[in-house]
Amino acid sequence: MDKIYQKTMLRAGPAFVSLCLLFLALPLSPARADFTYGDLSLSGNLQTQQIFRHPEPDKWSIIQQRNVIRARVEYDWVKNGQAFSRFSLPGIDYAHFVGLYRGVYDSVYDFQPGPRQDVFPYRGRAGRDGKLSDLSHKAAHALRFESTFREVFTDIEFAKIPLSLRLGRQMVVWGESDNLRMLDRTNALDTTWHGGGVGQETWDDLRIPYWMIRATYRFGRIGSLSDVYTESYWVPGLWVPLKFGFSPGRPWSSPSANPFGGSPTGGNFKLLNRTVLGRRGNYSKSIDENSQVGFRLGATTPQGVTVTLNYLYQRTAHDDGVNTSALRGLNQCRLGTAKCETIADVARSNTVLLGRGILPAEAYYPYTHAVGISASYADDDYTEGVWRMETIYEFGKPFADKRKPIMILDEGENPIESGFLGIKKSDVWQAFIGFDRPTWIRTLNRRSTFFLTSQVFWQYIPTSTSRFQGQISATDKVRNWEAVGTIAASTTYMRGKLLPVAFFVIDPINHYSSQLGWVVDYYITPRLIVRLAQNYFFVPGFGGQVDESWGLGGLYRKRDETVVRMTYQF
Amino acid sequence: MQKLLWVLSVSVCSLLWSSSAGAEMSATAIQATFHPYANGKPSVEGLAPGTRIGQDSWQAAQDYLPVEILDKIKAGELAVEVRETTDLPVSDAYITATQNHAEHVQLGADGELGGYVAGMPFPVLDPADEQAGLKAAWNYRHRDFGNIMQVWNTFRLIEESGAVNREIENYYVVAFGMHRPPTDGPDPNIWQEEDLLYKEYYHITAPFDLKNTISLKHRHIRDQAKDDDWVYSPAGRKIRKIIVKHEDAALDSGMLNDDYFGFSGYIRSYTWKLVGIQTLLAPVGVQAVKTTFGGRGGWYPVDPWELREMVVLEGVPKADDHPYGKRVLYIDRQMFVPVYALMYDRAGAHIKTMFELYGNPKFNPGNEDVRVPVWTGETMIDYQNEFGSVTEVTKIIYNEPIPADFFNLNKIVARGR
Repeated sequence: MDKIYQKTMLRAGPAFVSLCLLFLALPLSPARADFTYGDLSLSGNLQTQQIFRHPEPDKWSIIQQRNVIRARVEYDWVKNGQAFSRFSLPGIDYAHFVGLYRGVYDSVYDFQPGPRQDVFPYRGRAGRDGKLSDLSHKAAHALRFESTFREVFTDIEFAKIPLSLRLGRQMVVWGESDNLRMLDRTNALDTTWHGGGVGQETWDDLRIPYWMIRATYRFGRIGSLSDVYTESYWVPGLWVPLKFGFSPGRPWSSPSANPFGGSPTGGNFKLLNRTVLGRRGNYSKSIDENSQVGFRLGATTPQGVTVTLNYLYQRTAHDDGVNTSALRGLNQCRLGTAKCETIADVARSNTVLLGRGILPAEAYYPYTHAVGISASYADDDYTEGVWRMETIYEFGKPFADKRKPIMILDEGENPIESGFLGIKKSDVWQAFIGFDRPTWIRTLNRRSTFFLTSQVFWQYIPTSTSRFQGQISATDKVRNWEAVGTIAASTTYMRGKLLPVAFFVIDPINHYSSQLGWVVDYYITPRLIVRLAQNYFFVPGFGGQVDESWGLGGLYRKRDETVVRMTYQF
Repeated sequence: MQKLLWVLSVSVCSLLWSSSAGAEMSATAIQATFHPYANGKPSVEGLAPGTRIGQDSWQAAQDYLPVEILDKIKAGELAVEVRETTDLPVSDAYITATQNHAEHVQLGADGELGGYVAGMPFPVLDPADEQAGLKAAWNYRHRDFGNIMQVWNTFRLIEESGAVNREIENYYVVAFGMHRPPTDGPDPNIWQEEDLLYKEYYHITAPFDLKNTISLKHRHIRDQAKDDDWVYSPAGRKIRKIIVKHEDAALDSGMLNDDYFGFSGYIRSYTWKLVGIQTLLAPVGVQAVKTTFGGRGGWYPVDPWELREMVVLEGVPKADDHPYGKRVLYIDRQMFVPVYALMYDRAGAHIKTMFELYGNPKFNPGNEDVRVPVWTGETMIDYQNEFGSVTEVTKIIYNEPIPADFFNLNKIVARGR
């Protein structure tokens, strides 16, 4: 095995061993699995996860050694109109508090393993970026810990009206699809946790919770429709977009080198208007400039179809696989105005900006209106499965426009394209159909069915896309049609101790760019779980560059990985 | 002399049971069905209260236990003590409803009930009646289970060594909303419009990785209609419609999806045969909130057993691919709930035994006045794979009102966390 791996494992060892010893020291009896004191309950887990990257069978390196503690507190603080069993709270029937804490220590930022990380577009050694040890001590230490209350909210159920509120830091998940970002887009994703394809991490850990108000009003039966309800949410200002990190600082996030390095003033280039990619655009995080809202109406038809109608008004987070542009190029002067009479003048004004360490572009997260429908139907008679569908139409998503290049001057004072582009907006239609079925495959499991779930997803841009520039690379096309298919299977063995899952994702539009993964959870005891998982990213029969935005074999080639995780839950 | 009196009582009751179907339900017949011990409790020589039935003292119980259970006692897997039979009548409202309405109930050509209002559909069963088995199955479907049952319990998968593979704490609620006997309070038939017999809510409260997983089931009044099932997964944060295959076992446990409470599937999926009525020893009348488990693997109910009048009902699955060749329910005649069930594979070999445990309400604080079978646990012993699926009840509450919209999808959407 690779010598570098051996060395880094020796250095990673102490952290890993310490956590293992902690697990062994903890009582392993199958007694009560959480702590409950009347209306208060405390539960959680301790977890250690190791990710090994192996772009070639004989090249292994550790890229993550993560230690996590999750603690969840739940408390019924109002019951039958009594708060804390003492105070009468008129109008409120029940209220339940939930707090979920996550603390993380990534020890790779202390022992900083090598080797050099491969980055897109993977052109051999030329495609190699730095290694973790290239990070300064200060930069590495800034990344090694996370300590956050991910969710802190209270549910309130009113006594006399069929209204429930959820107030606080929370996630809202709508739609019928799994790991596809259509109606499930309220909370942006944090891919600095562990990006790459679908299925490897539960999106519960990836979604960024927001402080928001959510309200559900239940109408009950209206005519022939049952379970009629409305749900709405408001994020009053504290919204953030897709969060991502570059190689080598986040070896498990975006597979690209930091594009903002090399500022003439030292460090990274900045963006215009104090915007920060992955943090904020040109707005303040205030109620009037950064609110997001959503509304849906749900019901069940007499035929058993569960339907929702949805409307969302929120900023584009750029995490839905659509090849939108999070950077909007902005010229510093307008052609034809005073002191800006020629293209060279425009280019010169942009070049002056570069000299100050600022790029002629801003992080761009415009508002879009989106309408959507989701539905599901269980067909017991013919297919013996559940059909799911979801569709969303978004108005005015931002695409980089090749007809709006931002010009700068080269060394010869000639105007050239900087690579930054202006924006042209277009609508986008996305949809999926899914089918789930518990299926007997008795040759593989005599006692339990396999749960098979499949999805076919497509997106369509209803305008000519020839002027749009994709974000993956200079050669990246924005196509009118894109599609992805997923299939997954799971079952249970050994009286609930062994839970395997396998999944496959394929993009037939982009050279069948694919991801194949499997996960096996083994319960040593009801409290102690070991997980082994692998992901393979590949493009069958094609060795060239594949520009795709899903995070499959094109974008994540060379990121095959093996995950070893141990969890103790309490 | 006592034994002779008992035999005479049983004979009278059997005659009453042999009355042809459709005859008027006499008060005597009704009384015999719901108060079989009114004229004296069963008394068998060698099985006096306090007798220990174990590996070296099973002979007296030879004619009062199914051979499959007796074999386990002979093998030393469990030993039990005999207790005096407990009179556990169901509610007066149920008995009255039976008396008022049973004579109008009939079976349709499709096997569905017609003319059923409330109470036990067929309190008089004639073993000579070809449809007696099907009628007994309907009696079980409409047994007196109360209107609402809330249970806090722990489900464990236990190896023979006693090691626990998985442990799941949960809160389970079943609420019936049709064909309820009338009460003094509001009309309990709250789901008449929806044609739903009952709704089930199942909420996992521990362990952490499954915490707040919620499932919901709607069982329709017509047996021909399929259940509606949903599951809320906190991992996906969505409520999802699912298909539940009754011959499937959740978590690879010994419990098929149609095993719960002895049988929880569709009546139409089986061919039913009334085997007969027997006096047998059974773990009924637990004098505690929860059953004590012991014996091999900790799988068996080891609280004292008592002699009970039992209706033996055999069900043969119609589907060729069902793992069972047959299921034999031993139904306590007074409560009309299975107290044990024997499952056989398709070759006829006995593969599982399931015990459903019901207690004496006097020993269940808060439920002293309850007049329905008070559930104290269940266990499914899988002999082929040598493990047990054991449910231990922590707390149970009957007929405490809960909001009707408790079971609504949108409530779960709002509650999901």
